[in-house]
Amino acid sequence: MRDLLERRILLLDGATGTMIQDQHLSAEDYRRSDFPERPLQGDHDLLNLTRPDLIRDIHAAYLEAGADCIETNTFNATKIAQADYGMGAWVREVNLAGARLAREVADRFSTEQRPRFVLGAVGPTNRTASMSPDVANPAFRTVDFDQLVECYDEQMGALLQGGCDALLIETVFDTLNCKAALYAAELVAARRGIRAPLLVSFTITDASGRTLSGQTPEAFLISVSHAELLCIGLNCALGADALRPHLETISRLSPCFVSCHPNAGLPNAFGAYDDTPERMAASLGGFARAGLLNIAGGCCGTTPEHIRQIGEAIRGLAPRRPPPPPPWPSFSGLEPLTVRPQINFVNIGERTNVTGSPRFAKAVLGGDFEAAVAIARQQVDSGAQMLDINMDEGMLDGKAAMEHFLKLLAAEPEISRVPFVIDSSRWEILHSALKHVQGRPLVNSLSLKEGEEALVARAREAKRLGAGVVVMAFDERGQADTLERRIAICQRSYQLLTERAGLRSQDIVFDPNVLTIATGLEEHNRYAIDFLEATRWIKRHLPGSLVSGGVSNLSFAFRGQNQIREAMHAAFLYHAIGAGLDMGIVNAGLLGNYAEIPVELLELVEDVLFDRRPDAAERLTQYTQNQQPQRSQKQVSARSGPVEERLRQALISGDVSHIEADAEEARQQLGSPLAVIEGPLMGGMREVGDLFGAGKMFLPQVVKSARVMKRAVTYLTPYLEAGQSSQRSAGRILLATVKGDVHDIGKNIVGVVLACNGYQVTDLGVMVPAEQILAEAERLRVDAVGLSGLITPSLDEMVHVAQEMERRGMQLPLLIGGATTSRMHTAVRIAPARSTAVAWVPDASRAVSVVAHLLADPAGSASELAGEQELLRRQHRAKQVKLVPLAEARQRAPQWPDPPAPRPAQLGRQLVHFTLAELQPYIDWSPFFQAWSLRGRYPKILEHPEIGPQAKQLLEDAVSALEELEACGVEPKGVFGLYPANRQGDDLLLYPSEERGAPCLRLHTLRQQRHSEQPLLALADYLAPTGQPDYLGLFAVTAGARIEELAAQWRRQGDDYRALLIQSLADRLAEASAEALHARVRRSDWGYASQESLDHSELIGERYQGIRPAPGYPACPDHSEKFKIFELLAPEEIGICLTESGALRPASSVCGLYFAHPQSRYFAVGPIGMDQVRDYAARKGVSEEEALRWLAVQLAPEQREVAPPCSR
Amino acid sequence: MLPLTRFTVTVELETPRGPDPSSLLASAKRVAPLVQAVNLPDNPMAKLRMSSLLAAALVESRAGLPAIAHLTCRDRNSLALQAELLGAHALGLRRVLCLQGDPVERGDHPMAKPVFEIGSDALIQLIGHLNQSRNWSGKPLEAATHFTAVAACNPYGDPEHERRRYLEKREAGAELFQAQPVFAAEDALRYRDLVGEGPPILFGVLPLRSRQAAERMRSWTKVPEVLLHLLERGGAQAGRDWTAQLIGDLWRAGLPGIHLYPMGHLEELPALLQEISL
Repeated sequence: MRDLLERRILLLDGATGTMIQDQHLSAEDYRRSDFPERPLQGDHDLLNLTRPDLIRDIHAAYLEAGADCIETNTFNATKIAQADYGMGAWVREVNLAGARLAREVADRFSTEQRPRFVLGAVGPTNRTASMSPDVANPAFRTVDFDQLVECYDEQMGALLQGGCDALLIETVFDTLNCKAALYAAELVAARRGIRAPLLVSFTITDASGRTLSGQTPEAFLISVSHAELLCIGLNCALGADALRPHLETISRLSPCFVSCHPNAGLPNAFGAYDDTPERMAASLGGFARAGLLNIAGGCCGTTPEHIRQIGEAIRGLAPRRPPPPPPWPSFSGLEPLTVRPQINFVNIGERTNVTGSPRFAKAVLGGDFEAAVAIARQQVDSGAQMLDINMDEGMLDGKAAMEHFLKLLAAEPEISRVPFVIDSSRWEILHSALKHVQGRPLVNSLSLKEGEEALVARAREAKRLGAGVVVMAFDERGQADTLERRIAICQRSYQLLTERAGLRSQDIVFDPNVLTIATGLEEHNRYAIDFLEATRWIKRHLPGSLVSGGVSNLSFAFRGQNQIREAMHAAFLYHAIGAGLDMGIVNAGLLGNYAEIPVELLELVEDVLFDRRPDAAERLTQYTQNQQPQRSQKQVSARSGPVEERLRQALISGDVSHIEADAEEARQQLGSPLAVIEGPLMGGMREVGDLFGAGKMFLPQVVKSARVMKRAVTYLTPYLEAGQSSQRSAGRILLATVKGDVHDIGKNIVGVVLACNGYQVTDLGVMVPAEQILAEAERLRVDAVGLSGLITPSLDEMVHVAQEMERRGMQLPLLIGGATTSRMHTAVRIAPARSTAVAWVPDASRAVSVVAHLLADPAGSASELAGEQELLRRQHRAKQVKLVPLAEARQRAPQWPDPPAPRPAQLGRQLVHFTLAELQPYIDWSPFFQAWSLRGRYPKILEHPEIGPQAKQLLEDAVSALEELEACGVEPKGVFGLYPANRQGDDLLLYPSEERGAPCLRLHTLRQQRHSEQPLLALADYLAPTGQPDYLGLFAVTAGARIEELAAQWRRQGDDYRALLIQSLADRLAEASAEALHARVRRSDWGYASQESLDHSELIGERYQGIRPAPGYPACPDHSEKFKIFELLAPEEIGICLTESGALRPASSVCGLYFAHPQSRYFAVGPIGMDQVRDYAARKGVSEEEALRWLAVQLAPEQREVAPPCSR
Repeated sequence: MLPLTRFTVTVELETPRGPDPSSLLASAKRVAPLVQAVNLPDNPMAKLRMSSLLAAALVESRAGLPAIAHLTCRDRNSLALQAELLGAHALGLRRVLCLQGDPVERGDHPMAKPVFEIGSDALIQLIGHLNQSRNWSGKPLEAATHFTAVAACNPYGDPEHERRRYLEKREAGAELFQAQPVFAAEDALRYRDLVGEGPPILFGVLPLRSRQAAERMRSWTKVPEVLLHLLERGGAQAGRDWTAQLIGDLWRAGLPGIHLYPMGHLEELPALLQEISL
């Protein structure tokens, strides 16, 4: 099967259950003489015994339809799932019979050239091991891991004995159930001595893009990465199209083959499935063409006809080539954590440990698990990337406490998003804990303490349960306390684990023992040095494995002297990370910074760490006694000024390196965290706001200042007492990008700037329906609402939101922003819909002044605005635009000699992708600076006396971000097609081939009508009329969805600067891709400009022959033309789709047309008359109203009065 | 390889004592509907029979049934072993059970010279060499063979020794094991657990016909007391019932298959295999 999968895409069968339902069977069909007398109808798996003829027919129908693999009719044939029918005792028989039936039919169809395979279908059962069905009792479970293993063992054993070639664990909605199935498969394999290939297919239940149990697809892949799977994929829920982004993720990451067998759409109101064979085949064919698939098939609602057509669609297409397995160690909670080299250090939260945290111990011992969970949450909130959990306490039933706590954490997505480190010195606790974790955790720790056999057996078991292992430098003789012993033990353990236990090096984390130094005993003095040396040795000699350590042990000798301890930890970590330490158990909230240790203290600490002088420990102890009173002065000398001043400086300079320490110092001095926030922090931000307002600071700096503020507040939040709100807000503002639109950089920047100025900002994101905006505004009782949008249809949507606000009687001010909005449009179209203020915000730098003014003096500002807008409206009405009637405009079309129209070397459609390095020369940096409100043209802007330094800094950050994006797998893609084409009137006709018979696409262009001496243009003029050979190109490019994920990730981590940087780069990359693709098409694929050679500025200045106008932009303003382009070009294949308003998703995408005409240049259609709107509607075959909806903005002012105010 | 995804049954047949293969072929045809392959011993007990490799080739070509030829290290040096294997491969043989061979002193040619130039582990490796297109002295062959090396194992010996032997043979390249007879399913599962991960094991099943036969076995295997009593009271029928039950137990326990020693009574096969051929 593996060989075949390397050669072609295999076809899986479709639904069995829905096929059976169509047979309208009677209760008798489910009955056999030895079955109990109870209703069994609907227990389809029993039909293997009672109606084998029927099941054979279904299998045969799929094989006839071309399926390479059929699934046995055993989805529910487990004791657990059969319990509802009381048929548990027949499970083995049902599975055996199911496998034999399928085998028999498959063998009938199998030939040497065309083997057919039987996959044993293993369902998820109807219970879940990770979730509680009882809201009131989150630790309740209806099934546990061991029960699942037992029932899967029985099922899988029988399926393989019945003749299955492989097992398909499908419709996985809970990863823990799946892990139980994988574990059972291991047991079966060990007993049989044969490892049957395993396929896993999971299901994504809703738009959240996660499994029912909450994992992201990437986290899921990591959670099952311990099993050697043949194939991994998606099935069931959602229709094919909705699976695409997730399938892309899996396809990009998984080293195994990838499958997809979706439902025929979602069940409709009658429980039936609507996706036609044609639609499914088109979707799966698209996936296959994009190189995403190795196995395709169908789930609920699909029929042999679906499978036949899917088979047609994938025939002859190359299978996906799996990438090599990722070399990096990966762990997962609900979300992934991959320890890439770029990740400097993974901090493991240590506070959920009964031996190390008295508060946690008290909570657990007192049975107050709510408090224990709160401690876990606080660790994750303050940045712990993993969570160490330890219940080793003599007074405690450690196993029960661990299990209970893990079940509770499973119900807390904010905590369980990080991977766990299960910490115990007792194997039975570790072992049972692993059966309660759906992610990929670490066990902490195993060792040679009980001999080689125990280590190997436990490591194997940990691997089977899907965990990585921490191995302590401990052997039969005890803990390693010298460098030599550390090395010897680590080496021996590594060998045993990789050679005998079958672990990969990236499954292993060494803990070479951080031991207490400065105890007074001489032999302890070298412990720190030895740890560092051992770490270096491990990283060099045991490649791929990780090193971890429990840092707090180091300084036990200085118990109670927190300043010294923190300095020791910070200095030690600094050196250890340098030596190669990958992760450490630390108090996530209290990670010091090496650079902030006072110089004198640092020297004393390092004397101790490196055993540099015999009296080092004494001198360090003395330091605390002497320094206590002068401490603040010491730090002052290290940097300058009192702490308030330092905080102010940090905010203004955007420097985060000392912010936590300064915040802590300020907290101690001022006595309360709230005083710090409301005092120096808010004060500093006000100053930042003022400097920005005065043009003395620039947007990138402000965003960095905001990052400093966020870090400080995050640090202080745990100290706030319950009920204390962290900010006295200047006002609450709600922001949203309207329905149908996805552009949000500008809005995000406005959000950051407002937040800097003390506003509480709630950002609803993109594509937000009016209903939701208003409901949230009312719920949060905000002081103002801000709407953003980029594409023209969004303007109408904004009018709609304004009307709705008015209808609901909402009196708060409305802010309008975004590239297509304007002061005039706001005044003419939006403001009249409301009786209160509607303010246009030209850019982020004005946001604060506009909002402050509106909130400070609502009545005054409203009437001011109303006056100003009335004036604008009068101007607008007074503006006379003289239009030429359409018929006359057409006669005034330019008369050019027929162009040479070279035939493209290659007609038809092609996919391309770009590396970021090759795109860099195509990047037009000017708009990038503009996005950051730095005005000026690149490269001159870099030399600007005021803005220059900022621009340089920003450019540097951007270029290094590009490298990072490349490393994170960002890969812009494009698709283009070149077609024979002609104009017919103002329409463009595209033909499938040179015969130029029936056109495969008709596009419509608009003609200028504004009176002028010049010819009146339409894009159609750039194409030869029918009867002469000419050509047209279509294209779409995207920076990809990955980049949006990364931006969102940074935003979640509180780094708005990085997030915005990446997002603004994404737009540039999309444009650069468009430019690069256009260049390629001109020079080779179309080849009409093969001699072209342009430098960067000529390229950016578009000094080449031909244009690439995009629908929605001035030359062809109708966004809805994109729907038609998409029909032919199918950019869905590179991950682009359209919103209902015709906006491209991902936002950083471009879609347009290529014209090669030597005279072609960009122009604006400008105002048009109702005559052209009617003509256009007729040509396009839509109603006048529909056409107006897309063209309203184009309509000349005096004509607009006759149009409906809003076309909804 | 055999189609091991199902419950595999192999059965040991007797090779002819003369040049006429017809009785062997008749037996092979008779068991063909019930089993996946037959084993053909190589001068068992060091008593002269038709060549196992040639008999196996005959069974494959004339009875159309996969065969596993036994090959011992007793009667051939490395040159002869390789030559025979190449020839048998040309005749279509693909599966070879690599054995040490019973000592000649016990057989019908006590004067024959025992070779034992190489041992059974080395024989497994030798087959690996041929499969990689190299001969035993490391020189290239014109083409590679496609043999599956099968090895024997004993569930009743000293546990540590037997575990080590299994692992050594696995290391040498054995892809399938055929075990000595077991008389209780627990014994099979215990051995499977003992050796840990590795290639599939087809456990031996031997229907005992009398208490005397069982007593003779007890020197090298473990026959449960209760079976001895049953045999004493019920004779061959009791042995058959026990064996049928044992096969069912091994099947239900999820083991990959069995290797049957019918001791000439092929007519009993359908009854023995009744449960698993549902």
